[in-house]
Amino acid sequence: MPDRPQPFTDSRVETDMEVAAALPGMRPEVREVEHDAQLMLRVRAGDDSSFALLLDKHRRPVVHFLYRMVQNQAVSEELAQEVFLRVYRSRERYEPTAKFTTWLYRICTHVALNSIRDGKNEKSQKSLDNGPLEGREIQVDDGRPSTEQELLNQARLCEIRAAVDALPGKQRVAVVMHKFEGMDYASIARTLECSESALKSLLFRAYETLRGRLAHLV
Amino acid sequence: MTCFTKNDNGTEILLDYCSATASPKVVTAVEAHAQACQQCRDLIAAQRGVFESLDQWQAPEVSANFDQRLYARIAEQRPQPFWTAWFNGISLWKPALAGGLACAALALVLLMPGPHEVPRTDASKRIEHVDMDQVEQALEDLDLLAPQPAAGPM
Repeated sequence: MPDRPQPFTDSRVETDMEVAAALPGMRPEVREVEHDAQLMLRVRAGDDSSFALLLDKHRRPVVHFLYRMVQNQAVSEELAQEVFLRVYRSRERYEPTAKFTTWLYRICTHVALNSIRDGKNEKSQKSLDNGPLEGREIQVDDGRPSTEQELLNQARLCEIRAAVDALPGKQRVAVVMHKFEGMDYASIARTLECSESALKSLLFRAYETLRGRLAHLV
Repeated sequence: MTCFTKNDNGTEILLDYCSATASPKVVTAVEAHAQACQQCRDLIAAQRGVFESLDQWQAPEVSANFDQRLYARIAEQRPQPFWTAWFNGISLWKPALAGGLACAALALVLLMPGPHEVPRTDASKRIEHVDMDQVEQALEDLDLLAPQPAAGPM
């Protein structure tokens, strides 16, 4: 693999028609695909710089989604690498039959749920306890929250993380996508490959559970 | 108006209201109903509390070498050119290769010219030159020392 390819500049952005003309055999409906799918089609055609652009755009949200699923930074980055590796490996078979993010988060969900099921994540009581203050110094007597307040915040965060962690796999996915990724019901339903009504039922049950577990924190 | 908590559709509306994604029309309807409905007010307060709690859960930033590690993994999985496999095979014969090079070096040493063929230096040339001069001088001296022919009558 050569050094990280340079991303293309705006001057290289092509219209849908030019993209269609550049890639032989492209179906007419491809002209209407969204930008990420266009980039992925370029990756399919051998343009690694487009992959770098997709990585740049989706790296952070993917890692954060996986972090909230497995609650361990190292594991979440490892899983995120697996996600992008799968994206790259499947580039030659890619077809824009759905939104790129739907496909991407479907891979993320699959990887995350597999990890949780297989117990590969290194989530433990130790990581939950260390999470909020990991790598940070406790500030004392400088106008910021006291040590006691920091400890209270830490305890609060532990409860929040534990409450999310206690949710069943798909409920957890639904909550993380809805709350942290800002996805609408239709997008989440497509990602989880279920009906929108089923997704709403899933989500409402999840939030009802969280309301019960986190009521004392309100 | 039917309480929003009585059905899934109402729950969805309250959820959208709490996450600030409801339309202005829906917001107005919810707020008007909530003024008279304790259940809805309780659910709204509890759900907003959940969202506020979840907002406190920040994810750490991605490691600086994330991309580097990813590209390294991609490179590992790329199929290697045929000649790299051949080169890797050659690398297994390193001892034989080292031995061959040693033999070649030895052959080179053996084929180099011997010491008797060392060309003359200037010093040896100067010595010969001096010797010839000395010989010529000696011959002239001998001529001077040779008996001279006798002189005429007195």
